[in-house]
Amino acid sequence: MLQLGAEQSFHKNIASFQKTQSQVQASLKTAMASTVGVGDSGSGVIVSPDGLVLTAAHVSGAPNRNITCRLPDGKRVRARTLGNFDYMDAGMVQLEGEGPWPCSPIGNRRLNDAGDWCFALGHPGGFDLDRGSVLRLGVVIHARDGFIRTDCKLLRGDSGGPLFNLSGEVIGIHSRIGEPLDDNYHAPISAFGKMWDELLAGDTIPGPLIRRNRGVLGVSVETHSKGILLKEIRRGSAAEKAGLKRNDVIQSIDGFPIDDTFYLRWAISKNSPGVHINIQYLRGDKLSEITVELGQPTGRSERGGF
Amino acid sequence: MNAFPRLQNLFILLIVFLYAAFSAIHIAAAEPTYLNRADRLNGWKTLEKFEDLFQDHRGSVVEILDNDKQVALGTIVSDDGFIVTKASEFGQLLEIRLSDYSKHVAEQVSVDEANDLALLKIRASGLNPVDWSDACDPKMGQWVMSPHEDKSQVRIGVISALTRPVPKQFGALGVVTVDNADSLTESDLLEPNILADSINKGVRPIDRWIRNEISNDAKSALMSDLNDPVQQVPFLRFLLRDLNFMIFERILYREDRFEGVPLSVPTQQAILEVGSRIRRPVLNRMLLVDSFPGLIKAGESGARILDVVADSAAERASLEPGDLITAINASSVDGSQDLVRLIRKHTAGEMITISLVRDGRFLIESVTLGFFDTTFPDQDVNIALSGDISDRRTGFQKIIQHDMPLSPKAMGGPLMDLQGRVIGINIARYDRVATYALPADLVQILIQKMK
Repeated sequence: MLQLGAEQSFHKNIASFQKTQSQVQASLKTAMASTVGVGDSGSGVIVSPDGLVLTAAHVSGAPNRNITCRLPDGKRVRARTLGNFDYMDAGMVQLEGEGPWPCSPIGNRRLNDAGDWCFALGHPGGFDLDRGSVLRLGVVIHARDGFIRTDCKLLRGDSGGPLFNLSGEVIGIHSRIGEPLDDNYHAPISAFGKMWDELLAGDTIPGPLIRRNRGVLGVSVETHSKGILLKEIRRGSAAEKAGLKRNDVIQSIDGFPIDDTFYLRWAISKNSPGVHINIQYLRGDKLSEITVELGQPTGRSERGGF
Repeated sequence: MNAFPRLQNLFILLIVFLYAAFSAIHIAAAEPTYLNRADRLNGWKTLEKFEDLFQDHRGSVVEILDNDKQVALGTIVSDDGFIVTKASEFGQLLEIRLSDYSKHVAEQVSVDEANDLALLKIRASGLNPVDWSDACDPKMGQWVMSPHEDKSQVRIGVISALTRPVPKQFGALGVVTVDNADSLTESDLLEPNILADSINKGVRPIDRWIRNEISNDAKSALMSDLNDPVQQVPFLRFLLRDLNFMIFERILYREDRFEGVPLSVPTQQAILEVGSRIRRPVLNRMLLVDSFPGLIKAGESGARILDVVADSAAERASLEPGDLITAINASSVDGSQDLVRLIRKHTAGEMITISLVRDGRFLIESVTLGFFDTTFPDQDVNIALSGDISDRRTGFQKIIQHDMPLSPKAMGGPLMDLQGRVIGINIARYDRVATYALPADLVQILIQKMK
């Protein structure tokens, strides 16, 4: 009996792997058709019939430059770089010329869960017509701090290429790797969603200021299902003066939704001391909004705090 | 008496359950989920599900031993002892270890140089040959499995690119050379404002290379050199183009006594050829200038060796710093760029003759060219981030590409579908992303030819 049970679960396992395979293969045609080479040796993905390409900020570079993209059939297309959000490594490029272009749908804008299947396409080592774009299948290891980490192995040249869920929706853009094979990081599609209009308009979105120039709220935090939980309010800090309390949950700053400490860091630290920011927060079930004048950096290490 | 302990157990169970449920809720609310190593694609819990599939085929895989150390795997292709493996991984004397741990001396029947495949024979019978698959062109996204370096372990992945030929890579000599001024044109001289321009355009000179190898002092000195065109100290100009991280450097020297005599490698190709070895001269530029006085002679034709890369073809052929390379085979060499062009006409493993001048004497040396990637390993950042890769990783009639993270020592093992049928023989760990396998149909043809 036990033997039979084990065998059944084994076949169930393999059947689930085979299901994954057919989902990937069903999504692959559109995904491959929309994956392009960007610039001299980066990658990208077309996400609209009129030729909008998502890529990494470090691939597209400064806005409003002329670059060349390579379609899967090797054809070269002129393109113009749009906005650039360096902090999240999010960039956009507009293809020039007649559409409609083959494109992939964008996934829902929440971070993906650990254990979710995903697959990566791109041009590691540069565009190679005979090889085509290269598939990597893997799982999401975790999604936090503004990045998705997976075991889809990436290499230089992949930068800017798409990470898909099994439905063939773009859920991330390849950004960087570490030496261990499982250290592959992708900017989540939410990083683009938050700044979509600015990127489309060709803005260069500033990153956080260096430590001694940045405004400080004076809190330490942790991630919470509804936003960012204030764990501690430093005495005499800007947060205390404005009336923020322990266990308040920050939901947005200046209209920018905050669901990750990575975004909180940016929304605060891009401002100088003295700048006023609007914070929307939950206290219990009550949603309120206050204005905070950011304080001076204290000089001592603000590790884990903002 | 009996009911009480049972009740107590139930109570404890309830507490454990409640606690577990509570912690689960707590974790879900506060902590983003994180996937442990064991649950990832090639983690042990995932691989466990494939163990039974792989189990039946383990007997068809052997270890190739060179001096008692495993250098590769082999795949049994007949019950009377024929085995295929990757040819370039072993020397003359070799042994095979079967899955029952018995060791056998192997005779090398033949090698197909074009595909780096060797056919071996051991004296045995009743072996367990692999089942070949009939499908010759596997589709992208199809699951595959292979034995890992430790052949008791399996790895899984998918077919990840188009099946195609991979041409042989050009060879490498492994020298850093310098030119005289004649070969340098005005367009090779970069103005500092080009660098500034590039930075303004979003090209960032930020790279591992700078971070790791140039101290802050050296960097700011360098920047002031770059920003001050009138500075007449020996200065460097270089362009760092971050082409998706690829660095191209141009390095020029100028000093009164070397006016117009750059120790330069004026093209991108040349820089790829000299590879990372140029970094030392960058960092110790005064040292470099001082230690090679009179290095460049006016009117001299050829390429002067500045440095010989360790473990390279040049070192094996006893080339030395200071040698002037004047010709490759019968073609005369006109500067570093020309040297690169001439060397790249040849592939790794080819023998070339080099004419050179050493201390006024004319010499001719024969050199067997090495592999570019392994001669200049840190030139290509992609290789630096790939872990161990195969030496011979290009030059195959046709390969299937997959994304399994296999060690170079797992080459020679079978590439199988989930039914355990062999669709290829792993032949090269190419980089972090790719492993190549010779397709089953090609291997079967090669075996017939080699037998």
